[in-house]
Amino acid sequence: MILLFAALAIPAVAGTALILSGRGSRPLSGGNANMLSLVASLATAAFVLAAVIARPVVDQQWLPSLGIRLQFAVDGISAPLLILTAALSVAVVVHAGSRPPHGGSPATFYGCLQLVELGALATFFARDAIIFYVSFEIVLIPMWVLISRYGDSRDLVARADASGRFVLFTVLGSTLMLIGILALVQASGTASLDALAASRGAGLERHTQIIIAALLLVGLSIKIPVFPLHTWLPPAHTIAPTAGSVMLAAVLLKMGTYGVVRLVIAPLPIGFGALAPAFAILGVAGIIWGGLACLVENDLKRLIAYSSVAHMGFVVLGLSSGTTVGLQAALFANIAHGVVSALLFFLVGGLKERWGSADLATARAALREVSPRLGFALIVGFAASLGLPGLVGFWGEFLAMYSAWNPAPDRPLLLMRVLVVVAVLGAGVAAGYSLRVLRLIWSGDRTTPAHTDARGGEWSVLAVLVCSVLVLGVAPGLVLNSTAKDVAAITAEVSR
Amino acid sequence: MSDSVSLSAQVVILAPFVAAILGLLVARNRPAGALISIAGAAVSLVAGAHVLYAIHHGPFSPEVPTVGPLPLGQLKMPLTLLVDELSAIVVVAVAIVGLAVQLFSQWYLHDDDRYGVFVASVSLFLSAMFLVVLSGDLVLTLIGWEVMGWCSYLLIGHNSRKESANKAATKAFLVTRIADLAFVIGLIILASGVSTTSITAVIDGWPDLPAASLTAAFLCLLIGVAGKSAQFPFHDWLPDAMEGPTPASALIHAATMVAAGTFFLARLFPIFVLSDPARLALAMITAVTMVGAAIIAFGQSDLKRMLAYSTLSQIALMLSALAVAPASVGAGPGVLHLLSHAMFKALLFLAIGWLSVLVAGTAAAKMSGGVRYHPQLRLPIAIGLLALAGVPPLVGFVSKESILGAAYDNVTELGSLSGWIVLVSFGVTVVLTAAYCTRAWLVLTHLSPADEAVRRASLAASRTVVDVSLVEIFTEPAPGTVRDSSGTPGQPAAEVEHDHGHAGIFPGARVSIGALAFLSVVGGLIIFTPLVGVEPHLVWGLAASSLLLILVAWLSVRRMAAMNSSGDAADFLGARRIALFDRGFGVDGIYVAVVSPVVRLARIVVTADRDLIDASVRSTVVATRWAGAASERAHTRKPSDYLVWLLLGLLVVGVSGVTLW
Repeated sequence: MILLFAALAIPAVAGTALILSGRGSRPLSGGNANMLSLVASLATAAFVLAAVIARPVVDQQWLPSLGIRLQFAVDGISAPLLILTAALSVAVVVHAGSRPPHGGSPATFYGCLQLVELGALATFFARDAIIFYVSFEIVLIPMWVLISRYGDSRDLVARADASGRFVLFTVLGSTLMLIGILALVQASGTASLDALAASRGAGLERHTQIIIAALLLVGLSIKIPVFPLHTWLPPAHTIAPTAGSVMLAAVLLKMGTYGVVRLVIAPLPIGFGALAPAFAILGVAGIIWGGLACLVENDLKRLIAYSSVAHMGFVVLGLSSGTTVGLQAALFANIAHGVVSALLFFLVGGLKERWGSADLATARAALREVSPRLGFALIVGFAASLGLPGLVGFWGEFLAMYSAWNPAPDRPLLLMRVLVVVAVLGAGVAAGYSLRVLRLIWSGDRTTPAHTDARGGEWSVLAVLVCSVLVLGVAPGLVLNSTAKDVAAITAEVSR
Repeated sequence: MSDSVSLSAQVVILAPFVAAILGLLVARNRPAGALISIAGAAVSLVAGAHVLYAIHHGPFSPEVPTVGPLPLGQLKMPLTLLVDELSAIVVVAVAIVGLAVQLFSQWYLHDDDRYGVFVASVSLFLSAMFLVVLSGDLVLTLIGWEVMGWCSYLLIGHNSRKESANKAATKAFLVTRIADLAFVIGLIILASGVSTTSITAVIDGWPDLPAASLTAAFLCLLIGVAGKSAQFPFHDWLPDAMEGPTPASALIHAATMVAAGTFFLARLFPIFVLSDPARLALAMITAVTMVGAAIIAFGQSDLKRMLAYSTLSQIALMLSALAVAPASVGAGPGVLHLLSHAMFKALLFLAIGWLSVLVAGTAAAKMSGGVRYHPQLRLPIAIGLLALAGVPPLVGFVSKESILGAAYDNVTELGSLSGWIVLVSFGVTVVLTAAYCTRAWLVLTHLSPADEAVRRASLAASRTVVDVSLVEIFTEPAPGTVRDSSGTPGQPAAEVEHDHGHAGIFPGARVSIGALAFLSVVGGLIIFTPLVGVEPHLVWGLAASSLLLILVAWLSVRRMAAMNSSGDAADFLGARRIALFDRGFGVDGIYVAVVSPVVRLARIVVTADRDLIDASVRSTVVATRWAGAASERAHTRKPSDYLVWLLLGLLVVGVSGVTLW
């Protein structure tokens, strides 16, 4: 229990202290703030790791009048996400150490990162629907600060637009989700996620399930994001500083899909089953839409944002299938996208700082010629992004397609199979845009304008992520074995 | 015994994989890179030989674990390897070629600043090929299959400073990848039928399942096979892939990756044979490819590209064996030709690569008279061309005649349409193959320095290698795009020129060519040993008539060449037609026709994303502003107006109170 509280208390205290220091008359210097933040993230990561191993459970009375309990726990589904969050929180701090933030007090910057980590960890630890919602919302404002104050300052209107969009979209999504959660809690009489999952929607009418599931799905779809609710993502990524982009893509989007599993699929199987075909169609539309946009997009950060929409489409497809394979695929693809998008955003963020912009139409020095390390990381990143078997991106996509080809008995078989065929075309488009990027910036004989290669903190972060892409690609069992038992518990009930 | 076989099978795959990773870490250290890459291939060869020996001498367990099964509910994914006679013999053949290529690269790329990365990619490639061959699980096959594609992208684009190499690499990957999309669907169908990805379970289970699904699965798989094995209409990436350094061409585009499709279908042969429509489709694809590619090969002005087209034709031959062989004959003939082709085609590529260094180019004009000036190449090239043409007793003769035997059995036993298609196209291909082999030999042995200059001038125009890449249309062509159209003598068409100061050939490279030549000669006899595990089936009457055809082709091409001052029989076609042949009859145009609508669609998507989807989001902003302004206007700050509103409100409440009572 102490492990759990420590894992949450450290980022809370460190984040508050850093922000207060940033507001004070003599804020911490960038180096000191980085050091403090690094120590805090490392300590948090250690406690998260310990919590994942020890699997503590916290269950205490909190607000009896509202029936809200302080419930936190770790299970197989949340464990990989917790590790991903904690590890990337360390990585963004290390990376920011070698590529410092611009635009405001460094202490506030690091403080916001700590709070984002706090919110994400609390979301994944939470076992009470209301606490889940509260944690979900903690992330919002610090992320807004990161985008609106530390984002790309070349176009202030665009920056205000991007950060505003992010907040408004997300708040709309969370509001719908809150209504859904309240309805769910009201209808089933408990806010405990474990109890909700165990009840398996018993006692809820079909139409009640459908209405609540629809509210929750729309709300969470904004966060994931699912086509056509994705238009906040490209501007947010384009403007956000590297650390913000990484946390946004690798952690925040995952909170959406995680929410779908916990709040919709487990407690409302019938309602989700009714909506799953539509959900799957939108997911596959996102795969094609995002992929095609990448074929002609000329801003590298926007391009990766659109590719995120496509990758999350595969997660949605897996979730919609209603089978164990599909859920396993979705949870794996979730982690895979976290690792790959983190790698790509670290890379592209670094490139944007070197180039001055992320425009692909401008002639650049070939990465393979002037910065072989960045070039190598890029080629691994895009190979993983196009779903190359043997790398981490493959398993989620392949298994999601398999699961949709063989969906749960109550899903429309023909529709799901058509969707698989469309989704596989999306995988082809992914190869097209990945090679397009490689051809534009990786190969070629230009050596001007020269830029420095990655070294120090930046290189170590990239190297660790490249290794993760490879290791998880070769041994997907590391994640799948963790999630298997809890997924089986959920789907046993879905297929019933 | 069984444990050591399992261990060796794992080592076969792991050794080059480890060599690839270590090789990348020491990429800048040339001697270390050479040592690691050669050691990796050598360890695989030894381990593979051990597997081959052991399975013929004692019991062993065919299922070998890898990273362990994955927990996926109803879907079983054991991820095991499958060791048997088929996989063992192919592993050994691949390992021989792989080792030869690694030895040859050490010399061929000795002045290349990216030698370390190159051999690391070759090691990774080898590991992937071994995975495909030893795979006992559809997913492992897919992994090896695609990783090979990625490695071939890296190897073709090895010289990434050169625009044409980048284009060729991109084209190769995209074309094969698009074909692989269908392959993935095919694998999913196969796995869905039996709820497992284990190949043995798939083979055991599918005979009881609906034949229509099986045919659907195999038609999808055939698209993938056609892409990877460069069969019509996906074939055009392979000749362009000659942009890669010659060792890569020898390995990928001759011996291994393009043959993976043959191996995969041979692996699934027990159920492939159940689907007549799929076999007919394969017979038609291969008939078109074997004849078409052989015709195009004859007219190539570049000998390396000629070899590439001959590869298409030969791969089509092996696949056609699988399309027609009756169940009683099995996949043997196709596999035999896979093995023999691996030997003699790798030999030819390495020998031509050697010659290209000596004469500084691969164009026919450059190579003319090459073996006269460099007699050390006379024997290896002669052996390679004779084997390719299928002259006894070389290995190519035995393997080709067993394909012919399979087609003959099909026609006599089953009398199916595919049997006839293959039999006829086989006959045509035999003539054409002998013709282009003769032409190449006559070019290489031609000697008339006086005419050299004249002929060069006439060929200059035809030496253009036009690459219309798929990505060409994604982006505006970069300014200063390098094209090999300078036409000046001394400019090789397909490959970057090596310095004339290139070091003399290393002993290792020489030995590897010698070994391949030796195997191409005695391979014909090895096939008859139990080691290969395939009984060659020769129909002597057919063999005699194909020999007669070869003889006719030889004589007529000689005559054509003699009537031509250049000694190149293809010059009969005229420079303009040769240019057409060099472009492969413009099949590229099909690819462009497929891709440009996609790019157009992509532009529409981007516009719609901004002006339709996001516009509806932005419209909420406008609507909110408008509502705000409207309500602002309603607040006129005149008490009388507010009083009117109040009365109206009272009226509404009153009326609704009365009516809803």
